[in-house]
Amino acid sequence: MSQTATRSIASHDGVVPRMTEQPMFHRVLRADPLSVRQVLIDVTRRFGPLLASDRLSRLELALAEVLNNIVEHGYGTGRAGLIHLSIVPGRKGLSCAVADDGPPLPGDCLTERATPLTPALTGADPSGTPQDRLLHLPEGGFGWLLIQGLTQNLCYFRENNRNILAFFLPDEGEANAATPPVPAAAGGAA
Amino acid sequence: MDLRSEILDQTLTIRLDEPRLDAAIALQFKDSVRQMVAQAPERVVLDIASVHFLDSSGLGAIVAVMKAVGANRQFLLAGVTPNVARVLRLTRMDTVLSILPPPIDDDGPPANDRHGSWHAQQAGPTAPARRAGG
Repeated sequence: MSQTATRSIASHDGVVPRMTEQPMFHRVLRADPLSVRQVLIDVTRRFGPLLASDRLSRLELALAEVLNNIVEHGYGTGRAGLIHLSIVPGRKGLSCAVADDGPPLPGDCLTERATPLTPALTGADPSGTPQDRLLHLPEGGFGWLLIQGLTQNLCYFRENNRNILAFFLPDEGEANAATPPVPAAAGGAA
Repeated sequence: MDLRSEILDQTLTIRLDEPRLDAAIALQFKDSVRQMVAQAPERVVLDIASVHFLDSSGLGAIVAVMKAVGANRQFLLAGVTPNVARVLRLTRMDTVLSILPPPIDDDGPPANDRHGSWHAQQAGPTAPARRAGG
């Protein structure tokens, strides 16, 4: 009977669920494309009733890019591996951590990346034929661009031959479109 | 993977009836569609209205298809859902791809004048050219 009040909490429109009601999501999955697809479906099922569809879509996309990156580059073809995924709902968004036992992440993945598209490729540079520009279009390199565009506080560390990537998915908008942090002095009580 | 195509008025339309264009099917999609466009007429439309999830692998496959179509033919992306639009925007591929506007709503004016001129008379002169967002 004492749980009735907890269950009556609205579970939509950004209301943060109580820990007792919505514990963290944790999963160990095989590093292959179909397992990644399945865990993404599981994540959307779990968080679907709690998050607005826009937030849910950003979560799914960011996780897809991180997990697929491990499948493609972390373990590579022919090498079986496992991925640990944790998602913790918080007051202003979701904290996520992903761990794998693949080789270290190349250092440039976490630096701010420009789009793979150069002005010449987008047509801003009038030199070169349309066919030249078309053939030089990148077919990859979009993954980290998306991860950086969707997440905040992206951090990586390696410990005991294990990669750990952690990031925050804010509730509001895309991370790179967020307003700059408010200076401490402006945050005083009214 | 459910791929359908038809040729009408010098346009090859390829429709992908899958909810996800992701790493699990990107390679298969790329190979299949590249074969389909090899003998295509002057215009190729890729309709992905069913796709509500696109990742970077799927995007790479779309770019590969666009290259296969070549600059001497026209490649258009149709049925871009909001989630797909987000991926195109974050990667800035929306500046490179030609994207067809959504089809005309039953209850509204044409989304784009170029494609809706025959419909404009019905809608009347007072109909707004485009519905306000938000």
